[in-house]
Formats: sequence, structure tokens, C-alpha cells
Amino acid sequence: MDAETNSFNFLIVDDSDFSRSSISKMLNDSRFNIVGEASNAKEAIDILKERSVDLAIVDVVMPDVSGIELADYITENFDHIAIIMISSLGQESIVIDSISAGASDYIQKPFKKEDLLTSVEKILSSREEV
Amino acid sequence: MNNLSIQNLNRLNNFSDIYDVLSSVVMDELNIYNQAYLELDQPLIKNEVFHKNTKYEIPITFSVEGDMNGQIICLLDSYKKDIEGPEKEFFLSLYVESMNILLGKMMTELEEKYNITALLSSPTKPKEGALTEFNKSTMSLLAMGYKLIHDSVEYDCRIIFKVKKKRIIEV
Repeated sequence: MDAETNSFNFLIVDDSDFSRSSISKMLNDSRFNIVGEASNAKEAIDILKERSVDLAIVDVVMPDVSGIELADYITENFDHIAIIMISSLGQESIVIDSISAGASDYIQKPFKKEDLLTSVEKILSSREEV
Repeated sequence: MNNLSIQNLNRLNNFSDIYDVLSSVVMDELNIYNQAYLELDQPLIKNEVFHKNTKYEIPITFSVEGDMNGQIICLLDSYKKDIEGPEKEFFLSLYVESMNILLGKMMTELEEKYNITALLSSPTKPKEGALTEFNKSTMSLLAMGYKLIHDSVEYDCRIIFKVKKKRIIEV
């Protein structure tokens, strides 16, 4: 959490420009600060090394390195960062793999703004309690 | 191979035709983040030959792996549509993500209804002549049509499947 602005820092990782843009609009709130958008895992890791992130929203299916592999990396190297996985796919095995990789929640596309905000609020409030 | 996998393969093998399972998961309509809508325009049909894509059709392809293997080509017809200018990249991304969401939901429904696992790849640009290759294939060829509606403009989309069931291994 950014102490100066009292806001949470978000990273959005999705190979779709449209998807990133849609999510960014949904998170248009003074408490949420989008500190980076990445279209692949490599870009995401570069951002994670440079900026403070509280919550990463990660697409599962991406070229080269999958979102699940990225979630594994984040969990291993930045264990303070919460992860929400998103995908057009909702198969059980993918959801299980995502949670095993450290994701706190999994939302199937296309989701409503309320679905995303409910998930975000739940995760952030549990972190504030800790 | 464990018992569950064999059970799944046998369940898949029991379907008389891959068309039956795919046609039952076709969606009539889909809201894409309130920014676009997909409406079924032509139900899924079996086909043997597809006409070559025109220069106005914008192609994108997905691979499918799992209990069902193959490729899916999507073609958006841009004939007499104004998609140039600063909004072009946004619109193309919207189109690709709309196809990704539609197909992803269908693949998810396959698992929920039939326990058939079919994973979708990230979208890629197909090679030149990919549709001609489809016509040479011995796999099942299926097609359906959607209207992608964005900013009150309707765009015709052809979605073509070249798929086969995973080979059953005798045990």
C-alpha cells in the first residue's frame, strides 16, 4: 500500500490491449493505483522489479510464458503480492493450477465490474486485517 | 494412463460426432464488457470446403489441445467498414479478445457438460493459405457465423473449426 496516497498499487498482465484497457477502467477508483500494464510475463517481471505492487491481475493464457508460470514466479519472489487470475477458460484443472501457483482468486472472462471489485475488496481487506 | 483418463477418453469416444458436442455449446449471444456484443448469425454446420478468405477478412487463429485437438480460424469481414484511424488497434484487439472469450466459454462448457478437456491457445496470426490447408484436412470441418456489434456497427465473423477427437488408446 502506498502510504502517501493511501492507495493500493495494481499491475495488470494480459496480452490483450482491449482486456487491459477494460480492467483499467473498472479499477478507476482513488484507492486503486495502476502502476503498470504488461502484455507478457517478461514485461511484468521488469515492472515488478522496479515498482511496488500490492495486487497483480494476471491472464492465464499468454504467449511464451503462461500466467500460471508467472504467478508461480511472483509467489516465489514477491510473496507480499496478491494475485487474481483471469481467463476466458474456466476449466477446473486451470483453476486448481492457478490457486496452487498462489492466486487468491480466479475470475472467468467476461466478468462484470462488480465481480472484479468484490474480489479485489475481499483480498485487500484480508490483507489489511493481517 | 490412469482410470479417470481412460474413462474420459471413452466418454468422448461414445459421442457419435464431434459436431454434436460442439453444437450444444454454441452461445446465442455474449456481452463483451458492455463494449461489444456477439450475436449468433449462423448456427454451427458441418462443411467440407470453405471459400478462401477475402482480402477484407481479418484472420486470427487459435489452437485447441486436449481431448479434442485442432485449430480454429476466425475471420472478421471488414468490407465497406471504416476501421482505419486511431481506433483501429483498439478495435482489432476488441475483435481478437471477443473471439478468445467466445471460444474460451465454449471450451469451458465442453468440460462442464461432457467432461471433455479442450484448452485454447493464445491467438496468433495464421500462415498464408491456412484456410486452404483446412480444406485438405481429414479432420472434422465445422463453421458458424456471428455478428460482432460495436458502436452500432455490425461486423460479420466466420468461425471455422478443424478438429478431431483424441485418438483412443486401447488398453
